[in-house]
Amino acid sequence: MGEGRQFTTFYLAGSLFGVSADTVHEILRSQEMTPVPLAPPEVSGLINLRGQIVTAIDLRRLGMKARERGKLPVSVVVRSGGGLLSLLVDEIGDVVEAPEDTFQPPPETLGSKAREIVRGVHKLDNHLLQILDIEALSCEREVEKT
Amino acid sequence: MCQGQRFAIPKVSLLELVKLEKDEARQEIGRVQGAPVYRLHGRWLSLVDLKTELELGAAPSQAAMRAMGGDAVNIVFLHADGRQFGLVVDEIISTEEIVMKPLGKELKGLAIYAGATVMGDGRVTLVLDVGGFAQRPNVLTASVKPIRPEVVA
Repeated sequence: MGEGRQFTTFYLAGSLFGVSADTVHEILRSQEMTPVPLAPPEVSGLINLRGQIVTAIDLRRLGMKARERGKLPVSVVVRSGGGLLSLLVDEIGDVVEAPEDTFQPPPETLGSKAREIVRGVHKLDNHLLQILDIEALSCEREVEKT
Repeated sequence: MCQGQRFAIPKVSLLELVKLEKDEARQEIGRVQGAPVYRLHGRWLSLVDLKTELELGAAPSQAAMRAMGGDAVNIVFLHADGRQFGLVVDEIISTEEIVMKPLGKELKGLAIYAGATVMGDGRVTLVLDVGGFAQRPNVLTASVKPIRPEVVA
């Protein structure tokens, strides 16, 4: 099975995650952010990407503990359903080629919030690569009704 | 401007801007069952505090406190769907032509925003949906028509 897929990888709370490399639009250092009051907690805010307004989602807020104070996230801007979405991660990794036959469904032990957004796991030689489901991330979110 | 963050309101929803100095605020803002009201051209309209509605760090009672005469009060009177109300904000900045863009579908569930815009300084500003805002529970309950509100002296 020589045919593999390429993933742009990044780190979140010490774990390696990836998104399909062809969905990545660009990678940015931390940006000025406009908070959105009453938005779901994982929505970090809105950024101005050359005139386009893009929602930033802090992946740490999906069941992981908060990023250390003073540590700025990196923004991975991905294409999703005609628009763009910024994913805030800790650190960017390499582009990794993962053979299809190393892919497995997400492990049962994953937290429920994480399970919703992780499509599966590639078991690579010395680490696990969790593949994020961008469509699940960009779907309409439950908004707290008050 | 509210709690250091800028918001925009479509001009079509705007009735009038009112700034009350400290003493005026104390005299002219009445209370109906604890909810602040203001008489605009002979009609009592309910006041809603933007900071409280957006949960921007102020306790609910603080709106009333401010309206009761802490500081000067800036009120943006709005109308939507045949209803009128006053929105209490920190500061009124300016009128600008903007190009409103829709929010991503991640935020579509938030009826209080009509969209967002990139302002001249490059910052993203949220545009309030006045109709959506009027649907919020506090705005609704405050809309009970006051007959003879007690004016707090």
